[in-house]
Amino acid sequence: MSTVLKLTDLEVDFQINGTVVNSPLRGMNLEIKAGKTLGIVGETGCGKTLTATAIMGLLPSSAVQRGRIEFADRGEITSKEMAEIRGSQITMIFQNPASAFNPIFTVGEQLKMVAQRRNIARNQIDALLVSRLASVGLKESKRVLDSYPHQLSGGMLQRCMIAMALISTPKLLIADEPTTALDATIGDQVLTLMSTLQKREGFAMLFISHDVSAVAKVADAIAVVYAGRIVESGPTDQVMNWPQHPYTRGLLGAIPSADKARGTLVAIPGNVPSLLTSVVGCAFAERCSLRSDKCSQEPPIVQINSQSVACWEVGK
Amino acid sequence: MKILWNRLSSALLVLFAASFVTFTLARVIPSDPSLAYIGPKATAADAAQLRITLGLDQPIPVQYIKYLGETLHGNWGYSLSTKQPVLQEIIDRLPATLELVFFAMSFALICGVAMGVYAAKYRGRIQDSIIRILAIAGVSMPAFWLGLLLQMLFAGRLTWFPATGQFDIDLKYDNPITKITGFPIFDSIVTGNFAATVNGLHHMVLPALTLSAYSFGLISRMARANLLEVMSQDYIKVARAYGLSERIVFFKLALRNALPPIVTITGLSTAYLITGTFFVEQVYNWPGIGSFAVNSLISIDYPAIMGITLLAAIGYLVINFIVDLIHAKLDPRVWMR
Amino acid sequence: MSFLFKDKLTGTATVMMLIFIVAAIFGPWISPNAKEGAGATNVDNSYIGPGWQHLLGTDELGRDLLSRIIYGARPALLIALAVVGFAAIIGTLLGLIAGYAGGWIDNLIMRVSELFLSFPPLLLSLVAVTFLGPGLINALIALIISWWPWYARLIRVEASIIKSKPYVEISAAMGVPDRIIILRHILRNVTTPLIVQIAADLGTVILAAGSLAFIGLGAQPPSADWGLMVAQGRNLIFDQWWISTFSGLAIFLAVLSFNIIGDALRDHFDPRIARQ
Repeated sequence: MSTVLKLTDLEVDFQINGTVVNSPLRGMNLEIKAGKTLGIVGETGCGKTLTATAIMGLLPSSAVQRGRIEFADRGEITSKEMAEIRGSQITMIFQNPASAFNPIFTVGEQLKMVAQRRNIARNQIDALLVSRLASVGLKESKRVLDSYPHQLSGGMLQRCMIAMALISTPKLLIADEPTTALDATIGDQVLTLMSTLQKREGFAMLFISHDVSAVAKVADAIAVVYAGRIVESGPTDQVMNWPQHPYTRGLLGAIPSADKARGTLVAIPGNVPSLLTSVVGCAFAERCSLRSDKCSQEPPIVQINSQSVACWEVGK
Repeated sequence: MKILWNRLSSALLVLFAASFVTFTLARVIPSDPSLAYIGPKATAADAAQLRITLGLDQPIPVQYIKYLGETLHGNWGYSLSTKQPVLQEIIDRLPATLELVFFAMSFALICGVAMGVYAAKYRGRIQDSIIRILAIAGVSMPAFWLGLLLQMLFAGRLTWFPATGQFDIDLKYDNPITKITGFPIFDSIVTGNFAATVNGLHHMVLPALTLSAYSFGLISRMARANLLEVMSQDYIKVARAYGLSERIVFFKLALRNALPPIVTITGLSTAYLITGTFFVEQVYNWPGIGSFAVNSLISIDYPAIMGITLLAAIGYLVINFIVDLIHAKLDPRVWMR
Repeated sequence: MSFLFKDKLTGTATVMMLIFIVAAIFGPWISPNAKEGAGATNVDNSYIGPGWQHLLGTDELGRDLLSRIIYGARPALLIALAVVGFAAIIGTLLGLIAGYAGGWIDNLIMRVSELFLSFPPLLLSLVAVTFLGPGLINALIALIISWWPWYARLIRVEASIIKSKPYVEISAAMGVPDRIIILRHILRNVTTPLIVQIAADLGTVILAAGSLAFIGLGAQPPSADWGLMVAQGRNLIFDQWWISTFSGLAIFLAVLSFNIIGDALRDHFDPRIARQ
């Protein structure tokens, strides 16, 4: 199976006048195969969205990027090259559909702009938009296309955004917190929709969320991010059922569920480290119950079954 | 539609209230208005007689109704200083002021938006700082001082432009403008009298520049701030994520989103412009409403003052109305509930 | 307070404002020629251009222009403080009353405010001062009349927002009388926009007062009012240019510094539009 996206040691710093002020990404390594979904989970601020921004080549000028990004058959790709395929072979959907659409243009006009950018023949655009809307479950295409964003509900807008993302039949779809701003039931519908679409159209998906249960529903594999690094990754059911990294365990322990009705929610003590201070060694060490002296050094990636875990204490 | 009706009715209400307030002020303040009509040499008996003639012995509400009736019939009284009907004076002088306002506003709008956008694009750099200083200087400058300064520099020292007046005095004889609409420069273009057009524009430069300073400041500041805010919105990020070129993102999307508040501030600054004409026309001897207003104020010409106040209130309301309409057209969120 | 010097422009403005305040307070002591500043004439010295004897020249009555301008700082500052002060106080009181009382009192006060606000600002002052008669005090009153509505509306809007907030209900449920809650919260929420508006208004009022004086409806001779001085030098602008130029420059710089400081205050209190 071919690889659609591969990140090798992706690091991002923010610099002002040559001095590093902030290092949000400290070495991201991941790989997504065609037709598969990789879920990225982590707390707010751990660098998930920034990874997506870096992949799309949309980092601001104050950002310095190192590492490799490889995309499909193009191999290693720079931000400039990414600008050409951005929005066609890689598309993205965003957390807040209401603010992602321009309030003074109709949804149809905005979808049309994307289609025109991709040089789709003018007489084919309308038909394409209608079929796209139908595929995301919006049958009243005329009404939707003629509406302004504030006239549609959150769920409908998110479907429109998915439709927009699929106009150009991308190879990779990045979904950044797509269900976070939606009601639980609507969010579920959207997740189901995305899975169905993926099976039908065959795109790979990078699914980013702080909601582990949402990710678990759609992802084939999961990567857990902490402080700009992946601390654990592997097939979804393995990571969910046999988490190896102390952080993952804490994260999963914090999910309320019917089975744990009697137990207490486990919270991980402490806070995510501020990325303004450079981190030495394992970033999670200060909050970890298993910490030892070794943890002042960057832990190695250990393979257990098909999981990769970045921890000194794993396997014990 | 309903919103329009609401605006219209509240506007009319304000108009009535405004005229009533002005009317009452004129009647109620210390000095006796009738004295202005007959001069200081009159006797008490004459004054009393005149009061009855002018209907000043009636209770104020009655006087007001009479005043309203007269006004709606087009009788705005007679100017105490020029002895002409006030409405006629206003109609005669309005075109000169309107043309001046038109040029000043166009300049302020075009330059203001252009510079505001430019400053936003180069935010933080030297171009941005220069434009911001210019803008804040524009809103801080006394119009009369700027006028005098420009007069001294460009008319006095450099003689590039004429110091006063709307046209050269000789124009009446050499190239008289045939009156079609009453707007001199417009008429001169329409009748092919380009010598007059050039002359008129030549005279227009300094006054229009002076008048535009304040509005330019307001508009460019608003344009810059607004554009920056729009550029940081999510939908701009999304547009970029879909590969739309920076040019399309900036001009088609961001600018259109930034326009509504710019339109609003343009309307607001036109209001400032109205009072600005008072001073600018004074300094440049411009034969418009502004200089008429100042003369009326100084000579306490009640009918003229009330006529002008009424006119200003009407103008202000009309401008705001138009601004609201344009605003609604640009931003669908306004009229959709 | 350090934000007042955050960049060169703001720092310069702060310095200018300080000079302005010093001139207003210590005018008589720092003027080169205090008597002339106050109005004493010296006709033999008329129309001397700027030079070593008189840094900014002399006016039509031979008075040292620099002294006159320094003396003009006091009325300018006083008018600004008085107008904005009274307008803010009256406006706040009316706004509070409108907010608390509700009903027809609220309506009345708000309609009246809107009526005043629907006029081009300076126009109202011009008309009012015409009817009251020229003079400094009347100009003051006229300006206060034009300025209070904004404050009334600000306070009233804030009051109505606060009244419906949950924490008011909660405090009321706990037994604190709602008037006190509302007052406390209003004052806290309103402080920032109030300060910013006051700073901006100080500049605008100086401009307006100068404009009134220019037309002849404000301060009267022989007072050293900047607007008046510009008017007095008006017809001499081509030859004895310094009289109007420097007097007007004083107005410009004073207003400019208040506007810049107002901007700095606004940025300081409301950093929502993040500067990179």
